[in-house]
Amino acid sequence: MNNTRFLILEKSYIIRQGIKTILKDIANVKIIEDTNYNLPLDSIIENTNPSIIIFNCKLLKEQASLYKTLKSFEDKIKLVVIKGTNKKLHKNHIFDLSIDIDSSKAEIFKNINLLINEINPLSNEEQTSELSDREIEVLKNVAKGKINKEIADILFISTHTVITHRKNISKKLGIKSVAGLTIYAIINKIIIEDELDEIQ
Amino acid sequence: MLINKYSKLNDIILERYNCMPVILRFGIQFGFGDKTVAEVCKQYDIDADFFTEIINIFIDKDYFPQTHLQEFSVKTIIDFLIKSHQDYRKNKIPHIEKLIDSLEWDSSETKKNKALIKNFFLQYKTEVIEHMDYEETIVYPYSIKMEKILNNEQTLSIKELRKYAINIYADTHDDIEEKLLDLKNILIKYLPPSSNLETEQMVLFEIFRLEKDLNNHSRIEEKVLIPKIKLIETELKQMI
Repeated sequence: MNNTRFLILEKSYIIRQGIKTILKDIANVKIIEDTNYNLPLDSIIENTNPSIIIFNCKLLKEQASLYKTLKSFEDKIKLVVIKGTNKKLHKNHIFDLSIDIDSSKAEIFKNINLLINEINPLSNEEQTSELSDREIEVLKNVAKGKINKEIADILFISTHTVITHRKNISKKLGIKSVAGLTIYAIINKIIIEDELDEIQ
Repeated sequence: MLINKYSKLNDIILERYNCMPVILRFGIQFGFGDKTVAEVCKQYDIDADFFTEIINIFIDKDYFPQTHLQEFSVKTIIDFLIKSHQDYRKNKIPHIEKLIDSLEWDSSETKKNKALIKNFFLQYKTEVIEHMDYEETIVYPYSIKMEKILNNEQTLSIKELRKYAINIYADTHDDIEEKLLDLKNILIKYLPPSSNLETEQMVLFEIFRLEKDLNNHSRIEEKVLIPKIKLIETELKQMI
């Protein structure tokens, strides 16, 4: 699954590290930290292309222009604000999620995951590791010990296509070596052991 | 938590039992009472600073003091690498092999499944042994020789320098952990469950451990040994 890109806007090293540690614990994330406050926010966002921005609500008070910039990205990027427990957000706020500074790990986990799932709904393709008919044909020949060129000739496809199929097979199954793929093919009766004996 | 020379070896193991194999690999035996790392290392004639750093990189995957590690002698580094090889050869790999041998499946599948896994593991074993043999006969002796020449313990021959270079090794230092990952996925995802799950679990535990161990091992080779030898080679070439 793809990493979700988080941009953390927070001046305090201690708080930044805290946010980082929590995020890394709860999800498959790529964290972009920004400590260079000289650049305008919109160019930071364009350079780093985050899908979620997480920031301290105090920043909004300190930098008046920040709200405007964030608002301009409202549709493309999820905005997560960290606020003090007693602080109330404006009625028409633009944030997708607000996290109380006193939240428990379980609460943060639940809410951040909901947000991530909104961004990356698991597509069927990602969920299944089932091979397509074509991939099964390729796998069968790999298991028989055929090299890419031979497989290409047998299946009337280009070597390049064979390589692409093989990459996808390995990704779906989590098996890279030919020996490992052969075992998979035998267990799943894609190839019968007698066929192997014939070759050997 | 990272350790230092003044940590008690007993506490280290109680808190992080995962580093036990590495401690034993240095030749240290149990029964060390309340002795600190420094004391035990002195008793066994082990460089305590080196020992500490090695334990720390095994404890914490984010900790890798590359510069400090490169300050140790080639001999110290290679002694450890060879000790690890011996441990893989004599203990870790045969242990997994034995566990695989004792796996059982219900019905007629036993023979077939066991043969599949066993053959796969034997192929892997052959690869690893070839890999270690190459390092022990070519790479390590070459590296030690380079250091000796640098220390004027051996004379410099230009021929020697031209015959081999650490880059040959660096370019071909391949990933020997790939098959272990395949094996884990096959056992966890694809093979029908064996009738002794406890043993199957142990096989997996041992594979996970070996994989992590090998990872650290190649990290030391790639980030410490190779760069260090490259530096020595450059220095020697300037002397010619």
